[in-house]
Amino acid sequence: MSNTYTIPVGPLHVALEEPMYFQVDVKGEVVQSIEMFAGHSHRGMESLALERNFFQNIVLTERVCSLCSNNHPLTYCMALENIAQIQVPERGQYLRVIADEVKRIASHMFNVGIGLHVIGFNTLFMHAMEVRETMQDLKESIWGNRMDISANTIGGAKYDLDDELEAYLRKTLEELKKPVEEFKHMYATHPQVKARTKDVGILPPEAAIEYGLGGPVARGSGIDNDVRKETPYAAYDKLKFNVVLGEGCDVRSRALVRLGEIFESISLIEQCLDQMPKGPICCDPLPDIPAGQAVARSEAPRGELIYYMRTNGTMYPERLKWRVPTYVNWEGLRVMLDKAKVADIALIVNSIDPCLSCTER
Amino acid sequence: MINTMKQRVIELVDTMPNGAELSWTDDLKENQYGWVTLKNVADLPLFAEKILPEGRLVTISACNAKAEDAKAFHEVCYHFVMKGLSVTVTVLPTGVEPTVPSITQWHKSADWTEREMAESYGITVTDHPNPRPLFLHETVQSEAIERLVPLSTMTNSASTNALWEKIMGEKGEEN
Amino acid sequence: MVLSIFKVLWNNLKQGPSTDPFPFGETFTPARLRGKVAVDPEACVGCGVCATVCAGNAIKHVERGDGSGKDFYVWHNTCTFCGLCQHYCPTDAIRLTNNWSTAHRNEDKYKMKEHEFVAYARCPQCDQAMPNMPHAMLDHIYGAPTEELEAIYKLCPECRRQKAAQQFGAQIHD
Repeated sequence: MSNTYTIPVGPLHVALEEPMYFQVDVKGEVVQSIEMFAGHSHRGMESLALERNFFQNIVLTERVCSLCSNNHPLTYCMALENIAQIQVPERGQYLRVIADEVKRIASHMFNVGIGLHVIGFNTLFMHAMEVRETMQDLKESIWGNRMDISANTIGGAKYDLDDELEAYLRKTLEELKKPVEEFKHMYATHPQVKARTKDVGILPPEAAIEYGLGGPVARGSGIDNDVRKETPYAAYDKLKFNVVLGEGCDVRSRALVRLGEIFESISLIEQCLDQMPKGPICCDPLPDIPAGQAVARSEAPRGELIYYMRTNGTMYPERLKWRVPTYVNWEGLRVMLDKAKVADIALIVNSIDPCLSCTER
Repeated sequence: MINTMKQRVIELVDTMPNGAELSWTDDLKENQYGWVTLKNVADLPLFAEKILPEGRLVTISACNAKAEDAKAFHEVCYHFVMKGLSVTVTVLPTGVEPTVPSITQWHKSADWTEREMAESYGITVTDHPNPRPLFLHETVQSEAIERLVPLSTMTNSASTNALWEKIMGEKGEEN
Repeated sequence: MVLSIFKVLWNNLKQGPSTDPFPFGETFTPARLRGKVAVDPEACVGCGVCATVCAGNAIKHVERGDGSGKDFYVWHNTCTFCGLCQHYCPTDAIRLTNNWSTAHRNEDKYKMKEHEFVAYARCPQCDQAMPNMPHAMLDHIYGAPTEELEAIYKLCPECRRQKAAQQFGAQIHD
């Protein structure tokens, strides 16, 4: 009699309630190998993009994903700006950073919160969601929507901050610092959280490089890969920030990197508010988009996002291709789930902050 | 750092047995972008191997080449990043069935994107270690994007006249 | 002192529910909330940029057969509330209100629309129909208006050309 079993996990993702199908071979309660089956939410968005003009695609790309939603139109616009050599006004560049970092705080808080939900610590999960809620209110007040903030357009930003909103933004960030500090402390010291997350889902740095992994997943294993430093865009070349790295290579390390990045994000937004000049927010009038090709990269909350665009002189792209951070991170799960316990599968999968609607487009 | 990487790319392009073209662009933040066109797709594995260890494959874009002087129906662009330097390598898949060699053995991140290219563009990827379809079910033939009518086209109701007649017409207001 | 989980629980007890009592009470609706689109037909020049940038094809302009103007339709059910129409509108004629109330029965779906009539202006000299030119647009193009300019504004392009030429000719004679 064989003592190995095949457990189907999915197609509904256990942590995220998104459709992904895992076939896990186990021996006892130890994972031997995994296979992944995707495609349940493939919508053919790259093909759709070819049927929409450059303006309509700003909106389409924002709907690729909800948590990284700001980075998609941002990177898309950057690719277009590279082709047409459009100069984004300085204030517009700072406004782009502010929108991006607010989204990053909300996204990281969400992922760490869900991780706690997966291990059954629902009190702390609800607390994480409550802390994150201040960011949701902020997004609703400044940009008018909780998720799709629609902050970018070709040639700059689509929103501006008046004195009142700027004061509100500063106050909200100031009030966020203490709860996040306390939350981070609780996450790092609570014995049950530590027991469930430490030395779970090990990703050695060599494997992170071999699989080309990105974002906080690789940074949790000490790989310095932040696109904001590596290939500066928007106003990041004028701002001071640290790339948060972890050494644990485990689920805990990845969560602590995300929590650490929240403080960097708060500091980045505050620097923007201090340095931001008055002036136009968007280039006007818009130049013609010539035929050409360009690559643009940015650091989404989950890691490196890349857009490749080809234009042919019309109002419609000839090819628009993007690769989201989760797309490469899935394969990294083969390393992280190897010899893991069955009970940890959902937790480890959650630690790559997976996004299926991104992956499959 | 960027200049060292640029030098690496220049040397790499020079060693391509069948030759390659190289050009550079930059963006308004002075980030550099290298554009390599390999004369022969057979040189791709060599390029992929030699760009290691700094070079990392980010993604692969297959395109339907639309330009009038296009030499093949498809072009495939491999996007590498070398410590912040983006390098895009373009090849033309050859053969009656367009074919490119797999580079997954050097770049694990090519695994999924090669499979996706195969199923949506019908480009054959040779020597792929795990050649099953990525998103589509095994029973669905490849070249799905070219053959199938997207649901969105069928239900893109906002742009059909029939729908707008209902919205504009008196019917909607009376009911 | 660093917060412990018990203090979190205690604070939650003290604070009460974090959720809004909607629909029995008010809910959080900031001024900038991107809700249903509203159109000001007086300010619209009928340029159609809103329809071009609209990702959901939710905007339609239809010329009236009698040449009196355009019907301007916005269908809320395919609007994504992105606000691109508002951003690109040269005369601020289209804007997003913070009215987010879009719940309706399925049979009412085609009624979920804005319908405005954008009337064409008529040239006082030759009665030619032409797009309505709101003041904001003219100020934007020509700067602060004088009485002389004001009179020219109302004319159709052809009459405007003649009028301007006459004025120019009169200046030469002086």
